[in-house]
Amino acid sequence: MRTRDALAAVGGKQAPQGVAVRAAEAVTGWLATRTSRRGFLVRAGVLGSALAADPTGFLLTPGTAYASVCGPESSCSTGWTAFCATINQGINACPPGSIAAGWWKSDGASLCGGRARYIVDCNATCVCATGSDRAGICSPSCWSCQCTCGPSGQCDQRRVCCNAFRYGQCNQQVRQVGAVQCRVVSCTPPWKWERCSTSPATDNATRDHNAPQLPGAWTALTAHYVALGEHGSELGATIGREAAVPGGRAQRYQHGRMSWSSGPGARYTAGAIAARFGLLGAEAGVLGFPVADPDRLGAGRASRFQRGDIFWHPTTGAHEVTGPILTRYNQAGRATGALGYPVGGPVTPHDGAGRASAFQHGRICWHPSLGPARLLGRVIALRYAVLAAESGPLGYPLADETALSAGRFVTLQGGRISWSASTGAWEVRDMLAQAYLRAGAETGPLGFPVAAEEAVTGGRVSRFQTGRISASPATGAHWSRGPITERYVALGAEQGPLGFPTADEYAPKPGMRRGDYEHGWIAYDEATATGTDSLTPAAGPTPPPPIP
Amino acid sequence: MTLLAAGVALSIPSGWEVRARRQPVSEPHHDGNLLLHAATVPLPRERGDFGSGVVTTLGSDDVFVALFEYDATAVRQPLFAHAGVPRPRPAEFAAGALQRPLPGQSGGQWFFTAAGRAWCLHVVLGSHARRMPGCAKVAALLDGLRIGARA
Repeated sequence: MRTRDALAAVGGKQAPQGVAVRAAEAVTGWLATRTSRRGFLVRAGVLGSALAADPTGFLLTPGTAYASVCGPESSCSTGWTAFCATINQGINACPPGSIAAGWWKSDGASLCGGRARYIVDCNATCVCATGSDRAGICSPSCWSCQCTCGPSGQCDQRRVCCNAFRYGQCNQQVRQVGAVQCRVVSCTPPWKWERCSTSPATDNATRDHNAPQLPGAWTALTAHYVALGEHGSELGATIGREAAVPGGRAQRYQHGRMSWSSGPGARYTAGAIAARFGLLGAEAGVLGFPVADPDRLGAGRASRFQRGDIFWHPTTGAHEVTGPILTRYNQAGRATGALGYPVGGPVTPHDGAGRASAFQHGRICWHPSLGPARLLGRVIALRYAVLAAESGPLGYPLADETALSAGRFVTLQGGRISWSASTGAWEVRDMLAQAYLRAGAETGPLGFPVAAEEAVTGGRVSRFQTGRISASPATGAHWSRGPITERYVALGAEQGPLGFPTADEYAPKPGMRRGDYEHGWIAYDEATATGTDSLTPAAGPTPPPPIP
Repeated sequence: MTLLAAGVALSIPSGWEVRARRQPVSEPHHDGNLLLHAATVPLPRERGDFGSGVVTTLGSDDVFVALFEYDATAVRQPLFAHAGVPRPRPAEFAAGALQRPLPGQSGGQWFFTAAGRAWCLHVVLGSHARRMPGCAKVAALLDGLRIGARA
């Protein structure tokens, strides 16, 4: 019996693996000889692979289903070794427990666009040292794998871990290896990505050997992968075969993904960016297809897509930036600009209409009714975040953060946040913010806010470098500064006998300052450096003492 | 008849066909490595370096021999630690020791260094059952092999 003879020829393996080999050969042989081409494909579940690999050839050219997907001599009894992709979860790389031990090439391979196609033998490692050193192969009892045929349900039925042969150009520092466990294919010379020498070996008989989990016909994706260096690229080995996705095609790799559509062509993503892209639905997700290969940004990376970008840095992870926020981020210099890398994906505030993205050194916010996206720097963004950002009482920014000679500020729907190096970043809200604006804001007599707004009995108050704004529903918000404020505070401020201010501090005549309150007033003569102004009650039983 | 190629001399016994060629240059400042094929069957024009295209034509008393040279950097590697042209013994042949095992055949590999050059000798016997006479043919061939420095 042919299969039994073939097994005897390889030598050496007893049941149960021998039984497995015979069974697999028997099944595949039966299928190959007794079913129609199409019938076999349907039964084996490889119709898609055959059509994807060579649709015209499969439909029009006489031949077997094996040849359409796996190339010639794909049965176990032909003696050839199976491909690693077949037994290694689709990964076209040496599986754990094996090492590259040699290579050969087949010239003029259509699967490599007419280039040489390289086949690398992955030999099992030896778990013990035996046999003749000269053969470079240890005894079968020491191999880290067992002889069998390719797994059922697909057409790469070639042998696995049976052939005690070593091409010898790779890992020559290893004196002994086991049998050839499987084969890796590449259109890139192995010495560029494996520990192999350049000693050329050729066997054109294997030019068209292939497997369902290996790249099939030469495509734009394959061409780009080859141009990048294949296994030697940051993508690593292919996983499975190129597949159709909505709007194009895609190929998975150990460390990334490559996508093709008619517009941008073949572009790849790698590492954490590829993982994030996958989480977002890949090509069919919010970002669409990549439109460029990754940009290297020092320690970080960026990938551009049809509808957004993903940025990655080892300290921040990979996060997407999209829409108007991306437009503003681009204007600000992207990841190498002042904002640095995103530290999270876009968030939708409670209103459900806007978007915001946080960065290492700031934040960009956007609302469809408020024009372009707005940018906040780090310290103001931190305070904004403490106040619940867009979902908080301040709402969305109405403009980018503005730089002043002494600090920075941003105007928001519900107020403003101001920062200086000596005071930090603090908010001033709604009618207090309006009073602050009347006073000239940061560049006016009050200077920068020095604390968070406080609630007091009957109202609210904000304190500034040289003054104060107090507000109540009945009186509105009004400011005072300098000696007037000092006296007001000395008298108990809003909770004292004067109550809340009823007007902004003003100058009743040149050289005089005055503050009016619910229950009195404070006046100050700027001309007398001694501070001899007096306090006169407008109402109430107890007039305050004069300013000393 | 003696074949001279790239520093290697081989007296060809009767009944053998021998072909030798230099491989494409793979190292700067070196000529291409030598590849020598010898068989007791006609060597087809299209054949793999380790015998595909030939071994399928072997009869039970036929033998195929490949002498494959590696880059000079291999000389210092442990895989090539053995010095001198090997003399294959029948016990060293195994049915599975082939790039592509075929029913009834057996083979063997011997990595070695000679004249400062790294080599693999690969032998395929048409019939493992008739490895004794097959080995004798190989021995007769190798008796006439002289490896010198790269020419």
